[in-house]
Amino acid sequence: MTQQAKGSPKKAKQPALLKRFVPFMGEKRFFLFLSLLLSSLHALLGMLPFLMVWLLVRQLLQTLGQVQLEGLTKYAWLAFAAQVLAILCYFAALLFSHLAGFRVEVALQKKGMERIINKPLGFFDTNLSGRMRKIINDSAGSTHSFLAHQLPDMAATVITPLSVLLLIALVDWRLGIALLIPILMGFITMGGMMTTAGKAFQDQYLNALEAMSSESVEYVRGIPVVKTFGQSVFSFKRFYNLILNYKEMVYAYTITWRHPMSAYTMIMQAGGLFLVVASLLTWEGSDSAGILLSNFILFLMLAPLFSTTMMKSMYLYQNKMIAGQVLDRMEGLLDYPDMSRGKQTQIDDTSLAFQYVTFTYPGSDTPAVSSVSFRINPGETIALVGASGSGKTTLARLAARFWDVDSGQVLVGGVNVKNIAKETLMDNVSFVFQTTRLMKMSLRDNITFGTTNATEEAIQRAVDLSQSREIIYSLPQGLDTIIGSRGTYLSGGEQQRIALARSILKDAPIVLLDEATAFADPENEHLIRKALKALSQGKTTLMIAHRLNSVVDADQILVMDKGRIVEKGSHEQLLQKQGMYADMWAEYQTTIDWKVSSSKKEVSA
Amino acid sequence: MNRFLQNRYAMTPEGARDLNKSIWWTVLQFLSFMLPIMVCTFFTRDVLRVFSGKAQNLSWSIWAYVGISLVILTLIYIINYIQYGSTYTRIYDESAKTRIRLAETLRQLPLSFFGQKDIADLSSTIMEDTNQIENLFSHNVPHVYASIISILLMAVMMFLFDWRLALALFWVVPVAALVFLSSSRYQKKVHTDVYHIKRDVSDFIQEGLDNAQVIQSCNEEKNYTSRLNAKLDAYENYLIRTELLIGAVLNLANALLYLGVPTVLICGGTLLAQGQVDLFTFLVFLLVSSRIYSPISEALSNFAALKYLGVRIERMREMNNMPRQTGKETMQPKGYDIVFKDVDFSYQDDMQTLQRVSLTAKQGEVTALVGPSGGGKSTIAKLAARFWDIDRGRITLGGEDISQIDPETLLQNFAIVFQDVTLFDMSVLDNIRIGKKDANDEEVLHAAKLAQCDAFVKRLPQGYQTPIGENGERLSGGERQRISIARALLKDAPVILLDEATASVDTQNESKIQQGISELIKNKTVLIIAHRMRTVLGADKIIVVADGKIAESGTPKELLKQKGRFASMVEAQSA
Repeated sequence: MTQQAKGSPKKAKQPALLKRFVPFMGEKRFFLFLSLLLSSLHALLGMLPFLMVWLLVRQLLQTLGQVQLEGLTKYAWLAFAAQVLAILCYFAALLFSHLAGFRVEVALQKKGMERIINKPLGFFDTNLSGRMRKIINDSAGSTHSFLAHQLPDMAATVITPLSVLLLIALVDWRLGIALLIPILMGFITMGGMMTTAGKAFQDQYLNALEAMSSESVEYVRGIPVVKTFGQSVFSFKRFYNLILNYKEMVYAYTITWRHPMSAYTMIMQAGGLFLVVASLLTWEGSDSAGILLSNFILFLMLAPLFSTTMMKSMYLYQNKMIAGQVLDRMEGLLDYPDMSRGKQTQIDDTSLAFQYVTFTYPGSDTPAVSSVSFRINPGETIALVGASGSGKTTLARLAARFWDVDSGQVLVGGVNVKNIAKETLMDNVSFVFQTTRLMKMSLRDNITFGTTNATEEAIQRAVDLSQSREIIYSLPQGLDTIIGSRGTYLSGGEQQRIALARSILKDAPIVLLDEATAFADPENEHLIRKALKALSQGKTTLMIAHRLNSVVDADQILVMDKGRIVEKGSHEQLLQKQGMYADMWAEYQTTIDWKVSSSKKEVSA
Repeated sequence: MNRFLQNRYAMTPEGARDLNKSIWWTVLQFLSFMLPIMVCTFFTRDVLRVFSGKAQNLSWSIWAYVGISLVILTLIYIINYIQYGSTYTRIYDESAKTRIRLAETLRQLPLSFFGQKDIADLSSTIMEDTNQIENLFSHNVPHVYASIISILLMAVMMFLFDWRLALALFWVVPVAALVFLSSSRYQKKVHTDVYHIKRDVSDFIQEGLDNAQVIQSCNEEKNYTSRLNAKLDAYENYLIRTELLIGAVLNLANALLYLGVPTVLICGGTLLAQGQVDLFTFLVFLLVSSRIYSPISEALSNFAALKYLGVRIERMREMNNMPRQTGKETMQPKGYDIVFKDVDFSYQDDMQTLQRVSLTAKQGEVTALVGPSGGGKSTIAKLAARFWDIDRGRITLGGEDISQIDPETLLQNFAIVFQDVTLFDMSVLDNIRIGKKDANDEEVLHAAKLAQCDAFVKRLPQGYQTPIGENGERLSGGERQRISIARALLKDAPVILLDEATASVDTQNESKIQQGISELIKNKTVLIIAHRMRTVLGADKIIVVADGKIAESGTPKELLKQKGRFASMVEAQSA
């Protein structure tokens, strides 16, 4: 009774599993072939001892009593040699299959990551890094495991049964049939075990398992809440019931197999008895008894080969399915379309402009931004405000070419972003979004990442401007402290400031920033704000703003709603308009004045 | 035997008894498989007799054989039927008991455990462990023990039959077992080393995935790729140096067993030629040699599958031994003052998180805890609700020592609004109703309104009846916070523990959340962890916590005049 892997949807016909590995193996692809060859040899050689036994017994029975020692030992030593050779072939096959497995595991990760790291930035939006890591890990592990351990068995699952059948046909087909009858009955029983009633039980069991498993996650996750509200007993009760329910279901399911499995086992043990009866049926008198007996012995010895091979092939099939599915998932992940590469390495100035830009996220039916047009002159700051989902974050990301727009154009330095060479675009645009993190290297290396030939002076200046000086002081090795080692981790807000130092050092003329980065650290929000200001000083800046006090000094504010610009102007101009911005400003004022207080009077201004 | 099983596998007495039974039935099953072979050997001897002229006819007719076969097959069927019942089914009882025990234990762990991410992973691992253990006990464990017993019995029988041929038959078994076990042990050692290298590669991949934006923005893709490739090449070479040989040898052990067949041939043939053994004996050993190695091989692989069993059982034991919090289930607090007296506390042994902390949060007042991050303010708030047990000192609520009170009873007096909000896959209404289990719809809706939930709920497809989905993925941070506040309002507990950062989770709806919080804290004892100094200028008392100690304490006015830490923080933040 095997656990069945959850079925995957029908896909376009995939090439044979082994062929799918070939592109990853490089020069080592012959190892696959060698392993198969050697394991085939192993299977064939493994049949020889049986043949030798048969010949030896025949001879024995013919001479009966007058045994020629050399005659006998000739067969015996041949059998031994064949077996040793078979083992050596198997060993060699294993070596090659392991080497193949190692190679595929490594190549999958190399190729996979190389492609991923060059994907458009929008790719990382839709795919969580944890999930990607799991897919990569799984594919590496499963394929290694399948190739290293299963590959040498593949040949045997075909060759062994075939050679046994051949032998049977050549030696005595009547006895052979007697042997095959229980095998066939065994197959039929196996196949028929899954009746509709059995299937129903299986579904019930799988559902109960699923329900219990997901409840166990909910239970653990919910414990802090239910404890706080004094209801842990009830949540426990619910889980308790599902545990008992599962027990009932799995028991009921298991019981459905009781008769079939007993029948199957009985049938598989019946081979010898069938042979005995068949031998008696084909009994032709005591003269040919010797031949009969030697055939009988041979077939009796061959019988177990069928069941062991059947077990092996079932196991193989399961693992093959898993390896195939895992490869499918990997290919699915990499299926994301790549972006066209621009060629221009010169831009005219440091302006940033959007012209009638419309963009819809893949998988959505409403545009995130519609026909947006504006221009930021070199050195100016434009702030985007609006409710979440209004499109401001999308605009900033489109400026960095996370995706390509559906219509209109994004012009960086007067050149369409699609035509700018990627390196040039990245050299000229800095973006500071919320997902910034530091890497496992020294603080100094983190800060100089991407900037070649930075002077010590420039680095120190970046540290000061990003308000990171106190962070450096607090660490014993200062800038040379390696992040992630010995538990040296910085808080979210501290990481943001170091990341800002990196951007300050890079000194790109165009800056895209999301003000939300400041909220990583409510205590030191004011420090991060200072750093953000230093970063955008004198640069062409597009800022996504959340707190309205940061937009007061912007050259222009764009108020967005449902993907469109609804108001445009400086802070004073917009207040005068008494429109959406003015409302937002009034609301913002109340949050500034808010205080926690135990007095009964109204708190809002 | 029962006690041995009980201890080794952390089972209940009934569980051990059932396992014992299943082992012996499996032994019987294996022995029943010998019956057909015995018939075959009987037949062989019979034929030899006729063939060598010692007898005229076969002793049994074909019908006798058919009859015996049917009897044997029926016997096999019955024994199998019973064996199946004893192995594959009893385990589920035991499993259910284990899961229930685990669930109970988890329920009684201190609240603090659940704040750490590790515990969520640990719990899912533990649940997965019970699944794996269940599988292993229903399939592998009885088979391993039964195999060992049956093989020993067989060995004894064969040795009694003819010790020389038995030697030829069985010499491969200890050799194969030795090869298997020693390479297994070696592989485990190598595996730990490989694990670290593999982990390093995997972490580097994770880093690439997490930092793809930065890498691309700094034009560092080529560098990253070449560094990764170098690591992967080193990994492949390491595997070739260490795992290659061992992996191959491990898989080989089983194949070694089959050398027994030719050995019996050689040995038997020689002995036969020297007249030291008769033909019948030789043939019997040949037959046995073709059948005995595959069950031994299966036993070895079953044995291998058990290798992780020990680890899993150990994990479960650890879980069951974790410290639980218990206490009185009633309390009569005289008022709701929270008092800390000389409290020492540390998360880990080498770090002193709080030292000699003494403070009072008076009933009906707003007490704000401020200070640098990591200084201890959120720890203090959590200790007030017995998230952990302290090392030294005393914490009282209304005069009662909280360490003596059952956590769930104590928590009846607290409403907690922190940044992490756990939501369930039920309707919005029911999620809020968690605040007070028996609240009617009216009460729930009233609390929701005060918490400013109406604004976003009316936009949901089914309003308050809309199901939230797993952990409320579709809701924004600000919407989750408002549900959390609604729960707290519904609960109407006398003490509020609040993290001020919850307000700034959603800048757009900040004012709404602030309104909800203001409503919540009316006339209650409030302990608030504050980050923005301007919000607490109206508090009744400010306590500055730094480096695990109380640095300053007083009203906002007093502290501003003092021009100490609080005053400088206020100034810095208003710049």
